[in-house]
Amino acid sequence: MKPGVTLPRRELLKLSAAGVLSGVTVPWFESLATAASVKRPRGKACILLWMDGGPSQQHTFDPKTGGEFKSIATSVPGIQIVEQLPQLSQCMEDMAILRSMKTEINDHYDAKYYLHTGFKRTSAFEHPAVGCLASSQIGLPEDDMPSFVTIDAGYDKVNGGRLYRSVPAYLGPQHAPLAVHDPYKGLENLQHTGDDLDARLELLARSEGRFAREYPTSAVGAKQAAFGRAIRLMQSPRAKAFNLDDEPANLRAAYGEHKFGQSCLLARRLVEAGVSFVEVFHRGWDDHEGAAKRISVRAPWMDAGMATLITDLKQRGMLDDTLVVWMGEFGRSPGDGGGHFCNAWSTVWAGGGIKTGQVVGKTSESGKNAGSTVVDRPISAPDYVATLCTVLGMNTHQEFLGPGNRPMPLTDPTANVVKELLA
Amino acid sequence: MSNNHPNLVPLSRIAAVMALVLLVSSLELTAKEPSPFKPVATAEDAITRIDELGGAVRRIAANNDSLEVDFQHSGSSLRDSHLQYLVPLKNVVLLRLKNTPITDAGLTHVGKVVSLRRLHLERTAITDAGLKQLSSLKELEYLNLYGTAVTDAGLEHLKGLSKLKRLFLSQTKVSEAAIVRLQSARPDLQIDPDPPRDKERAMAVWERTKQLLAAAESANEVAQREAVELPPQIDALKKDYETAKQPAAEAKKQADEARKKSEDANKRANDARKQAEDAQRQSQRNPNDDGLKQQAEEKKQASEEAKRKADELNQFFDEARKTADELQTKAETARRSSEKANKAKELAADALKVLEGVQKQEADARRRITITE
Repeated sequence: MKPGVTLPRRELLKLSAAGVLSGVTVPWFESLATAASVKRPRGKACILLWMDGGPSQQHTFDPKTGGEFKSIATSVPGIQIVEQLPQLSQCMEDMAILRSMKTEINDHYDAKYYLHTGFKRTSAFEHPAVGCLASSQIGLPEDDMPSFVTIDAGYDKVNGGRLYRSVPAYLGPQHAPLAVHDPYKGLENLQHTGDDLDARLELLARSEGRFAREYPTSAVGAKQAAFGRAIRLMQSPRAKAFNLDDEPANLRAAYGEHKFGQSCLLARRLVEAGVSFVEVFHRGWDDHEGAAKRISVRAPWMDAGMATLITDLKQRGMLDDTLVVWMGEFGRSPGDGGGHFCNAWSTVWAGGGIKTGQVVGKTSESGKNAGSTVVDRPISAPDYVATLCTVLGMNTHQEFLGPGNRPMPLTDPTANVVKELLA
Repeated sequence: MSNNHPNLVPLSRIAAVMALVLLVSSLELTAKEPSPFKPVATAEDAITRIDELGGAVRRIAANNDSLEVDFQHSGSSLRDSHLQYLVPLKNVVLLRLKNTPITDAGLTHVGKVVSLRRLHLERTAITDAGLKQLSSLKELEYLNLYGTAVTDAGLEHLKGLSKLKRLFLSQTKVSEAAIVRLQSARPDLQIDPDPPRDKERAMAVWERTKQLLAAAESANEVAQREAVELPPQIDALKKDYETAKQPAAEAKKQADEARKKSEDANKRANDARKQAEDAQRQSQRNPNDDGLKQQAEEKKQASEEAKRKADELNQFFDEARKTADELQTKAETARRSSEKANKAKELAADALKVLEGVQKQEADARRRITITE
């Protein structure tokens, strides 16, 4: 560390020891770079499993006595989840359940925005999504692979309102995600047609170069950068990471013959190939007619996909460097899970060098309406996003220039990192 | 690349980068063979060469001068001799060679990077012979050999690595027995896979899925039976419900009326009691006034009479309510049966869907048992 450099937020540095083996590393401050050729730390990769519509916590990771689903012991004594998730129950030492999410917003789209950005939606401007933040802060710059990829794992039925699409906002369009619409098909459009691609690209580069000189705005530059990256990917041998056919049949089967499991497998391949943030979303968790029936049907493929992802990453020695997060925009009302419920719900974190094998926070256990309140350690949406960014190795106090040259912090300055997760 | 054009504005730089990318990519087609190792004088030069090969040199963390050298995305360009570029670098603690074309010969150079604490060799062509070169890495804490051809014999070379805490051996030729042996010799070492524990887990999952399957099967059996038995009874059940509904509604009406009457009577009894109490007090204040005394006596009798009547009506209401509740429950049961009959086919389809999912879950769990055995 260079002497004389004042580090903001020293307490953050104290939170986490920089471990080579694992552990959450401290954020990087650009000012500390000494030799230009030594690059910033890589940070961790993240696979976000987004259950769009709001999955019921009592039918998954926060079961209650007398609830609709029976709870079972897990591989960590004292922690129970529902019996419908037997494989995940055996991964408990690699997972941490945050049972005390308390996030204010019960409306689908606003909640999706809040949990993806850490800020409430305003009509004035947009905030960058966490995947875009990862792309800008820990993604490999000038790399063949995109830093942020989203994978559509399909839907049960179209409910849960409009899908949130990650927006880089003031980070610049080069941090927008690359979207995979079907894990089985990968990037269909990546194959170029014709054999005169080089000539066509040269022509494009020449005419665009002139345009860029005449109209030097950031949008033009960013568009060219994004386009350049697409071309790079098209010509890179690493693009085969998008193709699942290379995986052995038994592993593909273990992930589950469902789009969700295959998306989890694709996410692993992409992280292996250098992608920093993958968001897998599955739609249809807005179970207004009650969660029991629907989650009984979904549980087998969710269990297979998520548990196989965790064990596969672990076997490959990738789990310490890869954080897996399972969540939706909120939970469901206690009991049958018929309503939206932002007041006391769960997210699940695995790997990433965090302290796993634990439950953080607690919802009310007894009473007529068990689980209706957080009784220990409420975690807000800004707390959650700040924790995610910290675990991935970002400096949460980094500021960006927002619209109207307004300085925008990476996360809400009032956010409290969930220190229980930092190893 | 940008260092070659320091005078260009950033935007043109992007265009220049694009043009260069195109140039480089077309060059790659003709010049496949990577540049050979050239001795370097300084660490800075070594870093430049590593960059050119598609590798990267990074700090491992912001508050730590230690370095990570990462070749895992460098593709096919890395040669064993290139690993000599590591030697001039100070304090390399993390080396990623995953999925590169290096062989045992390259590990002679890696063996000289004695500061190494974490080494990634997964999915490379290294063998037991290469592991011998690593015995000089006394600081090594993490070694990833996933997907290599190492065998039981290779593990012998790791015995001297006393600081080793994590070892990855999945998809290798190392036997289960050798892993178990190593584990008992080094209880502090965390080895993946952990065959005994993996078996235990697989068994636990299978036991659970068997129970889920049994429950789903019986639920499905009931649902399928009802899907056959109930629909023909739809009309009858509906009629049952209609017949049960009317008396329930009437009983409820009667109970409501009785409640009203009993409430009135209670109120009257209450008033009468208060009047009697008032009269009693007045009479006590004027003990010589016989008129007041008599009045108090009359009010007391009226109050007792009102109380009797209220009790009677209360009891009547209680009975009416009980009857109404019973009929209501009956009607509710009939309604549910009728609804169930209407939905029987849908419920059976749902139960079957659950069963199919659980069947897959159980088959999958069973397959894992046979794999780990």
